[in-house]
Amino acid sequence: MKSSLTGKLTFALVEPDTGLAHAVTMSPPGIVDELRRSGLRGRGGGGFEVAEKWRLCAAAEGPGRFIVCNAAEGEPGSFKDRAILQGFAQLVFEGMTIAAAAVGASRGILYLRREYGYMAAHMESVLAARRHAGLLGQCIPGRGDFDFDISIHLGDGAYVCGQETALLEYLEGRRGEPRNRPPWPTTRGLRGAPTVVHNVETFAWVSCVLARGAAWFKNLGTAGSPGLKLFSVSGDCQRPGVYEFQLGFSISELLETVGAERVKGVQIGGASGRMIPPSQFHRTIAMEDLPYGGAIIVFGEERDMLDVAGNYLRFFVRESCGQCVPCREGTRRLLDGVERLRQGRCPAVHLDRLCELGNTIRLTSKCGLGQSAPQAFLSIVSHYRRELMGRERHERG
Amino acid sequence: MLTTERDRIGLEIEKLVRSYHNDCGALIAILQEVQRRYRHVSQYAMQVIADALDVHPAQVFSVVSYYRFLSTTPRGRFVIQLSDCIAHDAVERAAVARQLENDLGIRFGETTVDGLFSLEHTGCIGMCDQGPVVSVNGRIHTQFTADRVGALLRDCLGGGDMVAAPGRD
Amino acid sequence: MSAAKKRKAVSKKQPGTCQAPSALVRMEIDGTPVTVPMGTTILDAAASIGIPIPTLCSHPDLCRSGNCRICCVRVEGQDALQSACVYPIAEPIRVTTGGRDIRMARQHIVELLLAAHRGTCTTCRRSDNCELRALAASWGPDHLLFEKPEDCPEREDASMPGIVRDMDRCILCRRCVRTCSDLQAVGAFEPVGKGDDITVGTFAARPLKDSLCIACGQCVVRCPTAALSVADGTDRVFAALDDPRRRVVVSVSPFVSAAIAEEFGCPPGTWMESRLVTALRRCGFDAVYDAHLAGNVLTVAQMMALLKELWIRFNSLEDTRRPILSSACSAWVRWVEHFAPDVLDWLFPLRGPDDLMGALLRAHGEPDATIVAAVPCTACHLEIQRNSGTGAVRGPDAMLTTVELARMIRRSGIGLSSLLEGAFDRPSFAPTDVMPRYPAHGPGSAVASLFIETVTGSRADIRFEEVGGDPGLSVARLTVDATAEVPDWLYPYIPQFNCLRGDILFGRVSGTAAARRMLSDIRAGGVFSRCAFIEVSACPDGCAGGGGQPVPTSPDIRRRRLEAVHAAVTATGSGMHRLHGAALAVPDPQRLIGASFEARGRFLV
Ligand SMILES: Cc1cc2nc3c(=O)[nH]c(=O)nc-3n(C[C@H](O)[C@H](O)[C@H](O)COP(=O)(O)O)c2cc1C
Ligand code: SF4
Ligand code: SF4
Ligand code: SF4
Ligand code: FES
Repeated sequence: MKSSLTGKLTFALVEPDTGLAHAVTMSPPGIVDELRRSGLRGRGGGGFEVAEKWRLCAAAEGPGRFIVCNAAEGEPGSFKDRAILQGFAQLVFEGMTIAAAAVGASRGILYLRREYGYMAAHMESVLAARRHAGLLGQCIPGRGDFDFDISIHLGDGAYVCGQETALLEYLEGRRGEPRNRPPWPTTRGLRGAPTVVHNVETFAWVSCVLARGAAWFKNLGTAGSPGLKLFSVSGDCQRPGVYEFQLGFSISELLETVGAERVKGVQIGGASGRMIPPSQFHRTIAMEDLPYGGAIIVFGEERDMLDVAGNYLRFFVRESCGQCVPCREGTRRLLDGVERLRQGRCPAVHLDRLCELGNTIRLTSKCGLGQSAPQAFLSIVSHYRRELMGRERHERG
Repeated sequence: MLTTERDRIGLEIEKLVRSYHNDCGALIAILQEVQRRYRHVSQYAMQVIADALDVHPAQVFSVVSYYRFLSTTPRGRFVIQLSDCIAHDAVERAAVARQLENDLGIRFGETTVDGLFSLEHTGCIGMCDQGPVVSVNGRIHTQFTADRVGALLRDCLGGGDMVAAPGRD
Repeated sequence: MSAAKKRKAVSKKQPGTCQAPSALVRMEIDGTPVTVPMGTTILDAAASIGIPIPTLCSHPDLCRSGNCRICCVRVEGQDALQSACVYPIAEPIRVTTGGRDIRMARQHIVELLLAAHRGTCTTCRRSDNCELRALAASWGPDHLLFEKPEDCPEREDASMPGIVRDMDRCILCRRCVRTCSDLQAVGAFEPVGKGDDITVGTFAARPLKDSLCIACGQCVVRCPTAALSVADGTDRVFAALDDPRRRVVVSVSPFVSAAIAEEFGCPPGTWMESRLVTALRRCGFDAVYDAHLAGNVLTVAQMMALLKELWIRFNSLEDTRRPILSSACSAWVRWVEHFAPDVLDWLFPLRGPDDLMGALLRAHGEPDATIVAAVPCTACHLEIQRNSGTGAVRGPDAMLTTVELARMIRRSGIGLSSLLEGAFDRPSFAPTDVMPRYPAHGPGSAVASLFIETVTGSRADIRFEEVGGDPGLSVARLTVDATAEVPDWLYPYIPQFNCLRGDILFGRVSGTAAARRMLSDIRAGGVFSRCAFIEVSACPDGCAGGGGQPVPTSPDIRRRRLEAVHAAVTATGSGMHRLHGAALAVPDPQRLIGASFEARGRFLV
């Protein structure tokens, strides 16, 4: 694991449970205020303001409340959550406990993707230790009335279960199909109760913010995207791995850090992100410019961008839950289009129509999966059109 | 003989469902356990579960069909999965795939007739920086190369520690 | 293994319109301000001011699912378009329902569905009332951009008599899924698989007949395409009619007369009986009978059973507190056989009216005729199956649902508007002075009406009232104050009516999901446990909403059909017992009217 800043991740420098110790001395709205001052946004892709989510959840009426940690990490190219859970599970559980104190929840659930099942034993032991230390369970010290415990649920191999409402469906024992929103989980989540769902990394940062203070976090990064963030970098580079950056860094800086040369494009945000061509490597990763997911994949000059588009689309065709028309039927048609391009059977007008279709999929799909599925394709078509067209014609086979 | 075997399984499953207080919210947890014990969720098992939870069998079937880790036909004792994460070196991965098919004599998506091995593709499993990646019953092998296939399979059969069951599964 | 004791998985989705807190929100649609109750969907708000938004997956009887996305609109401030049918208005939003993005999106959605849909409209039975085709006419493209799937395998499932499933025409709107689980408490259909492999299927892809389906056909009348349709039996009937040596007769259910006009473009609620009789004669039927008669026979039989039971209870020390449940609806009977076999003996075992009519005709005067029954129902086939080989007098030889009958009339080249009115033939068992039309299931329950008329000697206005706001459950409270003389024909059942003084409750239940709630209510000692008699039909709003009725259906359409039936009722119960007596004047009347049921349970293996 590497960091461009110090050679060490911040998570390794923060003393576990100082944040929690601090939080239990504060009032619940005080904790929310502290987070609001830090400007921390969710690290799971949506970038929603953490404090606002907590405020909504605390304000909602409900029988009980839940804190859910989303360790689905299904995004191709993302592995930062695995790294965090392996190295800093303490911070994640601590962050969940802080969230529970802030919104008044008594149960936490960590949804762990099945492929990470081998980490479950380690995490259970961390939980056991925390219970033993009185940091979980009944009457957590500092606040007599505060009970909170966490259980781990193993996922069952569906990418879309990372979508927060699909995850809740899963936890309720059904097909992990995203729900209609509104209502949002903060008002009606798990079993109808107000629920806060965050990414693994978000909870870890919550602990850091409470340990080091909102001002520390706010002063890092940019005005619109304060703070630090972890990125999984892979693909055609010399030093793939998990990196910590202040938000607002440029793609060229990143490529230099990870040792990537002769780069044809960089995919920001995993399969659901978009491809950035060299002409835009000056752009920065921050809410103000390129929205961030956790995954950055570098593609070298020898890659065929059509393959990349095809690989990502195939992923979505397979992983779509299949309930809504634009995503289920549309992604499949885009993939057909990629095949036609490959076989030299795609007239330019057809490609234009596919791009319009891509726009419809983006606009009308029910959940983020469909809404982001055409992005990689659309960005590749717009930046690498020359490379896609004019292929040798193959008859259908 | 056959019916008694089935009755036994039926009773076991009913007991399992009871341990979850016949709560249909626990459906997936129950299915995971059945899959783990019997390596698949049979039509009979689905019906027993449906009956105990008082839901229609089609509802159980629908859930089973949704999740990749649940299957209605027995999977091999060793489920070998090769990640098709795009970040991995495609050339090396293709070689690993061919070698696996060669050594096992089956194609991807199939199970050997002796029920020992299933060969599957899987999406990215969060090992993008260490590919190609092969997982055997959830146990991950990184930077895998075609020449390691033979040893891996021998290890499965010999019960070596390369394939020892991971923590919880 | 005992069934149906615990809570069924509650359907996860709430009806889009069900949460209606009293607070009002002022919002704006296409520049028009509108004030709606908090929680109203954009779709309903738009409809209230006459702005049409196309829909496909939503249906007036079902909870909203939001999966087709054709109803997309723009909510100001949101990047993505929103589905109007599932978007509850909770704050003063501004909505636009048109514009390029929305137009293109709807075109794309229709196009994607057409591309995945293997149907060919020119040979499709649902062509005229296919909702996909209608959407394509308004929103679809002029040319298909995408290729249709090349192979066109015939994958029809016609295993369930009366119903055909052709998944090549399915557009995955999941109305059938919601119908079967939420309205019918069966759940035969569920989404299977995911991603591009998703289908709507039965348990382990079994044929429908092996999937606990009760053949109610409710999914059929709600499917927007021809993926689910009524099996066509017209060819068989035409063949019989074409054979000059055969005598072919038909009996017509009043619910057919109440709905068939819709198939010819008339508004719902148009009563078409006498012209239908003429049309059927013109089709070549040698006689046309009124199936209402069998309904009357059943009404008398049920009332007799009820009086007998009440007398037994009066004399017994034990308070059994257990209502008699009707068994006239074969889909309901099948539901009990599968999902509540433990209450099978609460059913008074009688045949259904259309099946009984066939048997009565066969026993009286039409022994050699080919007997056809025109029915509103897809489940009648089950009853024929059930009775075969039991020694019962055989019912009709063929069943035609309302939609099949309309098809027959069209194919015979008959124009309805120019027809003269005709009258039903009188079957030989019906006494010449009685041809009563007695309230069938619907606004008043026949058994309750006849009961009160018989016991008190005068007719009463019977009003059923909804229980707990559930449109499927209602109860009527009747008061017996003065009692009449016990007529001779009832004397063997009950020697005096005085014991009946006081209040007596009759229940009426429609939809098997409502029936499931009724059973729980009985088990919990609720109002239904105090009912003397409960009439249950499997379809919401009873036979007016049968699975063989014209498409589309909605609460309003069914209400109008019921009103049409009710208006046609001329009513006095006098003489009904003579009809009953004459009809059953055979050596072994049980073979005519009786039925036997089988506890089937829910296991399929
Ligand atoms: C298809 C899909 C997959 C997702 N997968 C993940 C995931 O694996 N991990 C995650 O934290 N969030 C994932 N999300 C985002 C979640 O829906 C949700 O926004 C997030 O967990 C909120 O956490 P945050 O507030 O920390 O960002 C996914 C969203 C979609 C639409
Ligand atoms: S966008 Fe795709 S994944 Fe999301 S609900 Fe629709 S079909 Fe399912
Ligand atoms: S069968 Fe009909 S109702 Fe059912 S999902 Fe398909 S199209 Fe919709
Ligand atoms: S006919 Fe009735 S029971 Fe059968 S699948 Fe359709 S709705 Fe369900
Ligand atoms: S009608 Fe609204 S999504 Fe289908």
